[in-house]
Amino acid sequence: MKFMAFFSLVSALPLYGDGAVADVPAVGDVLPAFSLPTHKEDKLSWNPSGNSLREAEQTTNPDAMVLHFFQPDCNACQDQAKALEALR
Amino acid sequence: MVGVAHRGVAGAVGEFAEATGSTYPLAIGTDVDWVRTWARGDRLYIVGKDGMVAYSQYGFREQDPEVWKKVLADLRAGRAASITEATRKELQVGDVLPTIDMPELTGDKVIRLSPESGHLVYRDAKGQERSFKASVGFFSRY
Repeated sequence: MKFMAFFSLVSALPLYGDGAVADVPAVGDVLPAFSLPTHKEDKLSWNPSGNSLREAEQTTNPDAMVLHFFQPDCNACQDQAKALEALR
Repeated sequence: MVGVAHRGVAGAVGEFAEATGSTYPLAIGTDVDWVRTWARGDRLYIVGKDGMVAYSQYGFREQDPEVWKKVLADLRAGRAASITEATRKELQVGDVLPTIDMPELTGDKVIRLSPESGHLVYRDAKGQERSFKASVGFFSRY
């Protein structure tokens, strides 16, 4: 009897074809301006032309900004957030 | 430092902040078009003051923070990032699948998928074995 196995693994991510993640921004691309709600019911806004990051009425002009996209219930994302917090 | 949730609602992000001790801003970008594109692979970017991506990575490995420190030091010193992406080892066509031991989802026993004598062998939690001609693997973070 022939079988085909299906398995899933926890940890990696969506890769396509040659190993590259399809259609994600690359080094050199500009982070677009945005304004998003925060979990504290504030607004977080970014303006690339003025290099300004605004949250809860406070504006900063960071020399560099780490931007982490996460899923709240993802264990690896939580580990990553802890590592980022330790970096502050 | 900025976090952007690309799935979930404010309550879940609040729980995330509490669980991780995050004190930096956490925004909610669920169902936002540009976030959907930028977030693929739970990605992390380091952006310079020119607004341009200087470093990009997907996933997370323990050694990554040392890379972030180097990139941030470069940018703060006005230099180009000396590292622009994380090094990842990925399986390529022709590689042999390593033996994979995983805890079963409903108990604490281990299930195994391993290449043995030219066949993939699956051993379930009861120790029963089956051989396969092929196996389809789906990788996810859950």
